[in-house]
Amino acid sequence: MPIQYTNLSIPSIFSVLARSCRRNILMESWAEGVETVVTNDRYNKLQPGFYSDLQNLGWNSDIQRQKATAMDEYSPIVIDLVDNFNQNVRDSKWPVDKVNGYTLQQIQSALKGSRYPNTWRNKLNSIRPNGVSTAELNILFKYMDQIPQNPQTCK
Amino acid sequence: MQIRLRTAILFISALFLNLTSCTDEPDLPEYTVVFVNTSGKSFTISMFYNDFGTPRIYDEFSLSESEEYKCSYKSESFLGIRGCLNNNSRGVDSLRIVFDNGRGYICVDEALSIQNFCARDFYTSHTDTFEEIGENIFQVSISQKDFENAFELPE
Repeated sequence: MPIQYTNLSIPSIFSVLARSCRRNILMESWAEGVETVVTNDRYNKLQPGFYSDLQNLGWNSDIQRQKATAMDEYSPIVIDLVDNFNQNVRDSKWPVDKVNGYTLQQIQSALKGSRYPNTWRNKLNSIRPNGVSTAELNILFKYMDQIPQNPQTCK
Repeated sequence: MQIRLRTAILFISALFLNLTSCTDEPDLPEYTVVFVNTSGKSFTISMFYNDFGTPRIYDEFSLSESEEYKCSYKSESFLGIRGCLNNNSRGVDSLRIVFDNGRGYICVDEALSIQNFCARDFYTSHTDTFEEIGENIFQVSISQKDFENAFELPE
């Protein structure tokens, strides 16, 4: 589905009041996700074959090849919500990602008013794409609980 | 009075910019992969990557007894030999090791296909392949046992 770039606006996590590490995780994860999804969408149109989620090809594809304990605030959560690559199949130490099919617009609308990952997840749960269960979404979001505990986060 | 007002405006502007500015992305750690020949035999290693659907050789080298080959890259986490390509959109995705007697291994990133002629995983941090011999320095030893267990490779 083509991305509607014009519909993307600035979510409330960019509020001047949103300065905690947890909010930084949302902010940077959102930015990382938009950068990755839009770049891959655009480049793949310019040169088909640039991006393949199943083959783990494309801009920032390495970001999904890491354990939760290795992550920092630049998490791959937005990419995981969109793509069809379950990195856990490749390595059991990597996150379980059975979620796919969210659009950037949906993820952004769920970010509005969300300052913590749990709020964001609950809002995403209410707009789940067909075929995605609440349990699968909860399992994917587990690594968002680990990230604030990692020493490299928000350094 | 005007100077005070100007100072106050400058102070408030600086405070606002500080509160709303982006965070700095951290410097990425550097990882090094070292291939060591402890097999007592010579062999050649070829590393391939996906160039828009066409497999291309990234690097090819021969190692005699006790010789080493190194590659380094910066990444958020250890990517095995995948990172040796130093490219943000794709990585080394297959490896061929051929001993002088023509036998050897073909090791493909499992995200792409099933490993047919390989006994080890060169694309994750699996300890059966990589031994961490220093901070972020990972060694792969191609041993006498590897020579003895090598496969008859397809043409």
